[in-house]
Amino acid sequence: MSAARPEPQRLQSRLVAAILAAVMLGMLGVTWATQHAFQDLLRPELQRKAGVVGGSVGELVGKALDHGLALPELAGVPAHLDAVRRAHRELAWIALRDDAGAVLFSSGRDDGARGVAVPVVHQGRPVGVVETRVSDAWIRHILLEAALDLGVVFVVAIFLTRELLHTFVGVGAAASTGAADGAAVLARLRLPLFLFMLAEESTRAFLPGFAKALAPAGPALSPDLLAALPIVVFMLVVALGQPVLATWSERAGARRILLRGALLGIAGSAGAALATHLGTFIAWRGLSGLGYGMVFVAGQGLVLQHTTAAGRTRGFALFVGAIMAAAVCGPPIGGMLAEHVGPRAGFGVAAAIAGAAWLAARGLPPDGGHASAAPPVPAPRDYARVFAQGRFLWVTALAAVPAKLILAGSVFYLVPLYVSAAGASPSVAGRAMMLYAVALVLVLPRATHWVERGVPLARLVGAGLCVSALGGFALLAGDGVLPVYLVTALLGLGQGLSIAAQSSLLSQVCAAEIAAHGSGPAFGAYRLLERLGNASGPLVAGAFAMLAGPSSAFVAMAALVLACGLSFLLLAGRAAR
Amino acid sequence: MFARHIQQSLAFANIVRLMGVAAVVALFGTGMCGFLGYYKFKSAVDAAARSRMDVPAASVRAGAQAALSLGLPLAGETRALLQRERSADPEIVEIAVVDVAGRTLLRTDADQAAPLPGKVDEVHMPMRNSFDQPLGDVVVRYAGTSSRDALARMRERLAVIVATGWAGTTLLAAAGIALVARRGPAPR
Amino acid sequence: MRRRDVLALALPGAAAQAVVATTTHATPAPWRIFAVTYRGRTDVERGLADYFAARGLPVEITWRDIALDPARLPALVDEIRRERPHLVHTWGTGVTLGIAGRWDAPDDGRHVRDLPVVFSLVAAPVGAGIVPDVRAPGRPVTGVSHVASLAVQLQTMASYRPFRAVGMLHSPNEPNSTAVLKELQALGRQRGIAVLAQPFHTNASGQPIPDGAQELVRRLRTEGAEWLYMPPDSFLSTQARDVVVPAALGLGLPAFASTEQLMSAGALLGLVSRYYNVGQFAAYKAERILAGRAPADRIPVETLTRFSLQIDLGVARRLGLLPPLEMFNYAELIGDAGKASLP
Repeated sequence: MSAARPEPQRLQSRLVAAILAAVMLGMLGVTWATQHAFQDLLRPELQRKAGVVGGSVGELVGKALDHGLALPELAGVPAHLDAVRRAHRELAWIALRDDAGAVLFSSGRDDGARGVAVPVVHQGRPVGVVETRVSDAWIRHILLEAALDLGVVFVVAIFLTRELLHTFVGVGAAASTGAADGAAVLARLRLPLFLFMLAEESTRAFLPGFAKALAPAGPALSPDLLAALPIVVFMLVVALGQPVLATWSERAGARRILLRGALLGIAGSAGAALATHLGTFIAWRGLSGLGYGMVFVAGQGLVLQHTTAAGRTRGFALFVGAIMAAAVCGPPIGGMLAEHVGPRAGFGVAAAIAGAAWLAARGLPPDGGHASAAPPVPAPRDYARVFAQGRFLWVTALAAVPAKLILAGSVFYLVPLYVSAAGASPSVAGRAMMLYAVALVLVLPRATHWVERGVPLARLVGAGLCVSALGGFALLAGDGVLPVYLVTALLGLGQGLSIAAQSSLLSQVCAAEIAAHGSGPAFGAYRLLERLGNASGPLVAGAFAMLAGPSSAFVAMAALVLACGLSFLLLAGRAAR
Repeated sequence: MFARHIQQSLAFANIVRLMGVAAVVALFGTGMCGFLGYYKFKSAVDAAARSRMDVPAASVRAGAQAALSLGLPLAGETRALLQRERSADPEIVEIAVVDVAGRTLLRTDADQAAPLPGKVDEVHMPMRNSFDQPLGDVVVRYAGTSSRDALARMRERLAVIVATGWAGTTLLAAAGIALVARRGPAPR
Repeated sequence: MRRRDVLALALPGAAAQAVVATTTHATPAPWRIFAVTYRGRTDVERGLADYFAARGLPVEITWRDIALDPARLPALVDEIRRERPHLVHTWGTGVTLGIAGRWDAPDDGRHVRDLPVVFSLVAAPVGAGIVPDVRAPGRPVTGVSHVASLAVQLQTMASYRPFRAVGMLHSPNEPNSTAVLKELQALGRQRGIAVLAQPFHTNASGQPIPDGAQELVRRLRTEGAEWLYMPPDSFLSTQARDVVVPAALGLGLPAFASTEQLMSAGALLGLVSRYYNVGQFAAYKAERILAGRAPADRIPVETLTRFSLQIDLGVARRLGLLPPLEMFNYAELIGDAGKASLP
């Protein structure tokens, strides 16, 4: 009987909805119960403090009485009590009562609840009482401050659920339909890839701040610029290692390289957690970069091996999907960990998640005889030929590289630096970075749709670049944390537009080259330049920050990228001919 | 018939996996709630203890600052002030006045009878002279035992809350999954 | 080329000056200071000496006292010019003018012009002609004034009891007083406070006389003054205790003292500088000069940042204006406000 196979998409989203609905209810329930615990456990501590504050007011009153004033004729008491309440915001009510219990002076609202009473003593006799009362609303308010964080947790839960369902339901579906084990392998690849990327992304919110704290203070060395080095080294290792690692993965087997890369990732994060000196920290980051490169290359290799040309797009979509999901989930969680427990704990957790990735990767099938699907490494003369093409440079140097420059420079480097300089916690940086990823994820499908519909690619790429730069100018309007959210949101929006169109544009523009020599040299050179853009982003932003401060650095980066975007669009007419 | 059997057992395996996913996400959600709740509580309790200690610190600062800026000897009235403030709150271990270099100028006598507390926190309040140059600090060292008790109690409470929440959420999710699976386009 | 020199070339004006200033040569130890006093050693001198002692700085202080006689100053000027100490410290306006002279007077060889001078207790350095501008003395004379800025004084009065109109008596022949009046009027315009001023009556040669002073106070009261502000005015200081303050008290008008002398005349409230702190601040400035951290002509003349707030509780009780509770925290309370202590 041919069962009408349930539309996997709709079933999937209903399952996600069911799980998330339950999770939301559960989170609300836990928060409600925590609220009660707060009231029960925090109130006594606050009351102790209220007693001490009341005592100090009583001492002051006693001093005035010692100088011959009488209790009812004291001057300026309400003003003083108001000032005390402003300094101790959890007090709802302070009152000075005489020995008969009547209220002489007060501040705040009397809601009739129990308060703490401290006697006022004059010449050994009690002549009155200072009464203080703790506010219920204030206690409630504390937990409410966590509401934003809880919202962030829920968004992360959404993406986490989708990832996990894709993995497990994917595995199940593949097994039940008996599809080619290509799809099964891809499904098994998703989880370790997601976990490994999650480990790496979770360090983003607090890494520059941690590096800055480790940086030695010296007259010539700017800690801001030094804080950029770990990111730069990481990106450089990834960029320059790419060709070498690709061949190695080809020869030694993608699964093996993936596992070893995961181990290096664990080691790198663990070492970073224990680093006490900036030099050692940079070295551990280099190691993490190597591990990242290995995992990335091996993952790509596996996708190439186990998909046919037709299914390759879906394969890479899975790849990108896992990375984007990690980019949404990682930074906010890492930021919260770093805020409450500390950055070293953040690195420790990253190491643990990388360990989980390693375990998940062991579920991959062993490397069998593989089709040599990996393209040959481009030779230097290939690069020279590709770089000589004006149109290639137009797409790469004016569009792709600036995009990576502003991503690595403004988001990965400047956001955490600026946030900590503004006195806010790494959670805020994590949230901003999450906003980038969420914006990107939301725009990408729409942009892809436009590409398919035939919107001119150059226009999309140029517009995307310009939009992504606009956010930086928000820093001109004012200080504080709100502009940062705008920076990352617009960056995600813009990059979503560009990314959809960029590789297609490159194929279009280098059609002749690709036809003659295959896509290897062109795309290899393109990716290399992109990655070098990643590496130089923090350096450029760091130089701006050293000269003019993080606020102005945002603006400078935005101006730079906007100029590139406008030039790109202006030259688009010429390149088209 | 046989195919149906395989399909059913595979479907069951799928349900189990789905429950596993639900359990993981539920753990994450309720766990993070507990984590955030605990740390918010911790910072509120620590802040309450610190600002409670600010009161005697401010009082000592007023006296010591005045004495130092007038070049008066610190012993005598200021020492009495220190002792008085120290005995006002049983959690205070020691109050000291230190100069800019960190040398102790004045310190309360150690209470021989009391046992040494496990962990001691400090509150520093800077002193300045009449032309705004730093004179040193007033340091209040306190045991924070009541804070630690409150934190321990909160940990216990939260463990129960999170465990219950996790279990409840997972069951709720299971119910939801069952509902969706039943309503899913099944072959009829 | 040193980095500092490069910076000094690259940076404009003031910044370059600051860089150059840090390379001013420090005076070799021990530092020789010549201290001239008016009426023997006061707490100012104690503060001065204690500052150097507490920091273990080797100084040799030569003390010279004129025992209230300004005629002894020229001889001291000669001695200073002979001995050439590294720095001179002077007590009060009279001594400072006698040693360093006015800023706008020509160099007639009768004053010390080429050695740094640090003064203490000059109420109005600009009004007295010691420096043209407190922020940039322009010559190697700087020091500490013991009178709080007018803004701070007004703020203190308002904290005790907010007001919309303030009265002031002044001597028309004292440039200090006139300067204070002008500044008070400017501040009043800024803050919407009415400034009611009455000059003392003067005799034929323009000198103020006490006649009719009580009537002047009454006039201020009827015009609506809520405070009587007493500036650092020499003639006023002589009349405060016996004439002005009693008149004001009788009319229920609280008086504010800008100096300790005026406070002791019976004002309700006063903002005074502790002499010990003034001496310490003067020593701080002296140290900066001697250690080469800044040249004397670039060190501004300043007041303390923290003053002693004095409240006379007996006066408060008599006026029925008791101090706000907040002030019991930091004010210095004179007398008692007990009803039993009233006459």
